[in-house]
Amino acid sequence: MTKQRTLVVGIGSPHGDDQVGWVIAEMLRSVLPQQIDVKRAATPSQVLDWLSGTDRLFVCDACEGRLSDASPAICQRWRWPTPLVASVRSSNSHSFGLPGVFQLAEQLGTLPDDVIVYGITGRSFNAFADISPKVGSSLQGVVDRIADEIQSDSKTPPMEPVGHA
Amino acid sequence: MSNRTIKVEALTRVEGEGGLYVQLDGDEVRDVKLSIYEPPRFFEAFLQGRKLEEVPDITARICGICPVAYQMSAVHALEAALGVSMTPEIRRLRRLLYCGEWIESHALHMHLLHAPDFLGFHGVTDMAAHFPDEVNRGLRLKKHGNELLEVLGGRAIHPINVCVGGFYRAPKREKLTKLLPDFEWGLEAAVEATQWVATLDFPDFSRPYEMVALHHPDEYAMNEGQVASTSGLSIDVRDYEQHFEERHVQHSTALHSVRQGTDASYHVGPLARVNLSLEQLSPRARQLADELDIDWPCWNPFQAIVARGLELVHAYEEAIEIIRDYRPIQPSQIKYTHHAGFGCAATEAPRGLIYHRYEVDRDGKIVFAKIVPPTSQNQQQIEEDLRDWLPRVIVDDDQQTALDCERLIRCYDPCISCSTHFLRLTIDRGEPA
Repeated sequence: MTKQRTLVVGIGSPHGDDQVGWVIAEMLRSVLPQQIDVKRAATPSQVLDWLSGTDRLFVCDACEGRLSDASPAICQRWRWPTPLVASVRSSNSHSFGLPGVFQLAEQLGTLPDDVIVYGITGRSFNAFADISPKVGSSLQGVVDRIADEIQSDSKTPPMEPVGHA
Repeated sequence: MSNRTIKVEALTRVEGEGGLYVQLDGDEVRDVKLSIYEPPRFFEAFLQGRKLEEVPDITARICGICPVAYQMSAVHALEAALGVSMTPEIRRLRRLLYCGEWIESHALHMHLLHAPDFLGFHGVTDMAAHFPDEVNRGLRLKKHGNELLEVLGGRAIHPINVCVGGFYRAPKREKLTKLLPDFEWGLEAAVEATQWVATLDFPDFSRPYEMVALHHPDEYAMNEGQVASTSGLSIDVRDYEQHFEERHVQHSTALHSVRQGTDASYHVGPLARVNLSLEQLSPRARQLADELDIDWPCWNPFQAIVARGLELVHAYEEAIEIIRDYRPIQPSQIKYTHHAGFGCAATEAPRGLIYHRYEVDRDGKIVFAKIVPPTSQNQQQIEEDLRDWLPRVIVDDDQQTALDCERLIRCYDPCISCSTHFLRLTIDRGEPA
């Protein structure tokens, strides 16, 4: 088990597949040791409130992408800094996107050394809709994958992206 | 000099998406259009047929920055429709919730969104390298606001504890009093922040505004009062639609609000509130207003950042007072019965007056909803400000001109998501001669 202080943040909203960040956070809370902080955020800027003393940060968020009806859900993993995160669009309109939050935290010296982002491509972001079946059925695999990484002492990054969930 | 067009394709450091079109004939400004191109959100339409109890949580979703404003306006309007009167205790707790939103929103805008304009930075990330203490202070104050919303509203963003008739659950006293040490620090930090922004280099740009805000003789108006203006208007909120009118304009998916009869623009927001209710500010904020090198009433939109600071101080001072006196309230929700009726209310969102009107049927379902957010009320005023501002800042470099336009627009802390609903700039200088 890691001795580092780890923070996990799921970013989301109640709208369709944008819920995945929150759902993953709740699922992780039930399987991770209590000393690992798991938070739900509605905006990326909330992450700035919780960084003090954090060594490792995991962020889970829905992202937009083009998926055919037949394609499985896609989960991607990035280690900051990477220009790929900048291409991830939150489905909400916020003052700061994740890249802006990370860049500001870097300037302020509060960004943890290890920042991992999991992006789950959503299919539908309709207001107050349920998570789409294909995305919903992929979440347990994503949670297992993130839990394994969080509880691993190894900082060796796995293959990126993770690929189909 | 030839005609030209300048376009700001996407405004930054504002909430939502919109654009600005400017048409010039030499140095003369021919046309200015603030275009809101976020898709209309049709909230008013999809509230129809919903149970009135759903309205506070649905309207809170209009904005992630000012959900309390939507909730407060909705519950007050629905309570007016149902004939429900609030207890003083619930009313006080609602003011506390509003203090949380003002702290969160004002701290964010002052430190992270607006200050970079005065200090010559493209954004807060650049500013943070040179002003880390100020940025950290802004983040810490914003966090306080979020924490208060979390304790009182159940969540920091989009609170879920507000209901028609009061609150689903009254917070425990110890959860609120636990916030006091941070809020006492926050009050001093808010005073420092206001003193700091008051020394920024402001353009000499005053405008003959009609400023509109709620006014209450006994308190700094947040969710109750007469709709007042600096031109002498003082009306009951039930008469709002007789004096203010929303209009569709072709270049924007958000409606424009104007004064009924004259089609004149008007200005809502913290500057209007301070100008109209200076004497109702909390003691510390009132004293600070006198100590600053600003004459009140103030007509310079760039100094709205100072008005936000005074309101930040007020919000901390009032929140501390309410928390110290707080005892869990019973009941936390006034009971009511459904019956047909209509009601309206106006409250003060961080960026200005917000008006809601609802008609409900005897089963408690929404028949009609009307929501007038602050940014749509300020839109025409912003366009008129830009017509005056542009001749002062127009240069051959369209990008620099666009930046100067954005600086003025950000004075209003516009929330385009709310008004549907920021910025693309198009400067039309016509064809080269």
